Amino acid sequence: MSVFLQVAVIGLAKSGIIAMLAIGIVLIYRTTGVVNLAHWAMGLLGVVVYVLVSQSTPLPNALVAVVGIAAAVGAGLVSQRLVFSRLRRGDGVTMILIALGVGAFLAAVAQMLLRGQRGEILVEPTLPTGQLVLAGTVTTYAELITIAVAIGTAAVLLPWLQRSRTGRALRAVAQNREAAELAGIDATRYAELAWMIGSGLAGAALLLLIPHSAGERGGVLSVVHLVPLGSLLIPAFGAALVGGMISLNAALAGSLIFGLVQEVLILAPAPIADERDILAYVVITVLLLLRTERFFATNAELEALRA
Amino acid sequence: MLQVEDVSVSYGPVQVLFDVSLRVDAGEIVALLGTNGAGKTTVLRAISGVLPVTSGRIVFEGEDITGRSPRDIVESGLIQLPGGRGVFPGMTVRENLEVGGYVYGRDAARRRDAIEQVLEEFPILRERLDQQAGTMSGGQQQMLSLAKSMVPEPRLLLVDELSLGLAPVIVEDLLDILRRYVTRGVSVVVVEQHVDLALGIAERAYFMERGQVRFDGPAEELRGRDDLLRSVFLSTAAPV
Amino acid sequence: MTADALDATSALPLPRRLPRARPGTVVGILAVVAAAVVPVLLGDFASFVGSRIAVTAIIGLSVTVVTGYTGQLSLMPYTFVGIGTFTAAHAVSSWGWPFWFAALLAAVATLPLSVLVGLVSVRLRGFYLAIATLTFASAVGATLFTWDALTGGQRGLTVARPALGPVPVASDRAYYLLTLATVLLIVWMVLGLQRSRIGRSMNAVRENETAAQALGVNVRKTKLAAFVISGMIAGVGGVFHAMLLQHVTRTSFQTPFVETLGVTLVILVVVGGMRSAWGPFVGAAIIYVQLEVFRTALLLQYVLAALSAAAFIFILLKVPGGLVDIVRHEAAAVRAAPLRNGIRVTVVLLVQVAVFVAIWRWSS
Repeated sequence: MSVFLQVAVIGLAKSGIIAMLAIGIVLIYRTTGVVNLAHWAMGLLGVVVYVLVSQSTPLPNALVAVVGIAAAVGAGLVSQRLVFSRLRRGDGVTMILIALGVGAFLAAVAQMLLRGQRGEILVEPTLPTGQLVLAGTVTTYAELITIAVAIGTAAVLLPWLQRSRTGRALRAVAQNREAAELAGIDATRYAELAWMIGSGLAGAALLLLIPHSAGERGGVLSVVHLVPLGSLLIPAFGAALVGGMISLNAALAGSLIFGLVQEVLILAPAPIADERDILAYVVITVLLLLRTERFFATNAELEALRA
Repeated sequence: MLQVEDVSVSYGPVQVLFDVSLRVDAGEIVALLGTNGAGKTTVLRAISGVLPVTSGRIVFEGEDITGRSPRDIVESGLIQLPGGRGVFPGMTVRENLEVGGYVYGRDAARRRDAIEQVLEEFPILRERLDQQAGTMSGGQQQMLSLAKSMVPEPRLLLVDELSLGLAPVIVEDLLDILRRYVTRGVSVVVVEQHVDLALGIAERAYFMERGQVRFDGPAEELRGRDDLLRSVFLSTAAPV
Repeated sequence: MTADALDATSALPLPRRLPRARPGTVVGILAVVAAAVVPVLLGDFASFVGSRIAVTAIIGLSVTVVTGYTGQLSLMPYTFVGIGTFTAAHAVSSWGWPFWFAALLAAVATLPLSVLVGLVSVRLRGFYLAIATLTFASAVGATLFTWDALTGGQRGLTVARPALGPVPVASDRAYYLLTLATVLLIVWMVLGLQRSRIGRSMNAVRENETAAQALGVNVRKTKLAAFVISGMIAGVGGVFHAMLLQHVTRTSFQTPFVETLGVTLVILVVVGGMRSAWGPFVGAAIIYVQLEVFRTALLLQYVLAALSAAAFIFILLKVPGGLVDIVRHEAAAVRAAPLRNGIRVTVVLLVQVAVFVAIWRWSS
């Protein structure tokens, strides 16, 4: 039982990181129609700023993490303003290519900032270190904090989107841009807001990831591990696809599949436990082929996304 | 109340409006008619500020609103009812009305009062406050779209294709509501494919063709101008 | 359904066939001769870089066919390259097959996967397909490429360069000439493809799938053909990739490298010109020459990577035809007004060369 709990906690932490990425992907897609394959790069810039600032100042790490998140927010805002806002909607292939280009650009900028630290870089721990025993299970503070932050984010963000005036305006822009503008909503500003929230979440997610990749005491982290195009973006898109890239609630459920369930399958019999990754790829392919968007949006909304 | 003076608009390199002028006086209904693609909707979008004007001037209640943001224009009391399905399909009726009252900002009490007043005029919507807009019938959606536009208490309402795709009975209901607002001092511009309907409620009319105003005068007079109207009938007549 | 009707649906930014003026042909022949002679004269290292450019251009042509011509975004080109690489490595090293048979086998070996992706592409459009290919790339990396019998495990496989009959191509110079000849052959084939009936169907599918269908294009067959042809080109590219390096390991075909390489390749193809068979060659030449010139200046390489990503975005937004189109445009301008435009183009080129040299001097 305690083994199960231990694995479950690790899986939940992973789910939390995936969920924060997936929420950003869905939010940006719904508000602006952009499938952000550069999502990881926004977060990456935040991590790099965190690394640089934490090396050069004595500020507490939690505060530096906020600076890192702010950098990710800035990267998202600038990308939207300079590039994505100039895109014609509906030209899917160009849009994705441009997202890839923005990702490549930000990754190059990140490497530029980390000059002289090729390969492996020294990272301060983002979260308090140490282990604790809960209900006979050994867990780390890092895991518990990751879970708490993810749950907290979802618990604040989702109701806010649902009920607040700003959240309603964001959804209005997503569902009918013209009607939203005619109601006096500045669609450009809300598109930027969606990019800022999404990118900030990506920054937070990657910063939470550091203790899990680099060890809880911080330590060395290879640059390659900061480029999670495949290793993190694929499950994040998988989670978003569970909700058809439309529903945030379903995306949260999806992040449980690609985090918790996948982790717990370690305890399953041999062939399943060994091929967990393959299983995840199969699930994503099936989700794609199912065209899950149909279950979460009316045709009118889907047209609005593509028009 | 509204003067549009020599307004031109271009989509990229293509000019679509050529020196369009029109005028709306307080408390009147004006019809804006024309063939498909004549630029009627473009005129409305330019007035509402969602489309930039390349030259000319738009004056509303004595104030030059050319180049103002859609939000400023909505706040000044000039509201456009979007063409086609103007609702937010994934939101409830209540949320749609709340978005309609977006310009009240943080003044939630005023927004609530305004929505309450609108619901007095649209009792059917009150019964459906928690229904998703996308699941309602076309007529009910158009009614919601109209109601939503009334929340910011417009003094001038621009209506784009009220009758599109709706049964005549439903259109008649919507027109009744519109007339009631007019008696209370709201001015209205209706853009219509349905010529008879528009000329039936409007006192004055404009007729557009290929981005230019071709006729400007009493609605009754336009009714007699077969040379102009025939092109509309030809383009909209259902094949029998 | 006529071929002409189809032709009319593909709205290219420039007239497809520019007037075949003599100077163009002469310049073309001179360019090919220069491409063949200069690296060989410069020595082994330049020839190695030249081969790398040629190999990248071959692989890039697989992107041209599927994305440039047909408008289907595949982010897994290096997965097909990997299949070609390991197949050829085994055929040549383990079974002693002659080179051309090994190349043929490598092309054929990509078929099962390319047919699968082609079928998926019939059902998925736009970004759904992009994500599916990204997923496939990772899935193949986690299955097929972890199979030690195929990839030689951690240690990888050693591949000898071929002999063409009695002529050995072991030296970097000889190998460069072989790859150059091959890439020119494939460019010629891809040019032919574009002019063929199926090529026009591909363009129609790219411009508007629904309209193409209405015109009688068999969308399913066209997409399948695009992925199969693209996969085979990438497979052949894999053969030359293996023999260029002479030692291959699986790592570069697994996550995250396979995706990163795929993205870099797409960038280079777009910068060169996504809709022209010459585009990958131009893009690869520019990127690799810069990388080699600035090899020692690490920071500068990142600056260049950022600049090429920025150029990529700019080209997608403003000049979808890429550098090939810009060159054609300028060439046409010079022909129209030799004096004025000639001076302008010369000045711009000189400034670029000067900036390039200045950066190079400063960095070394």
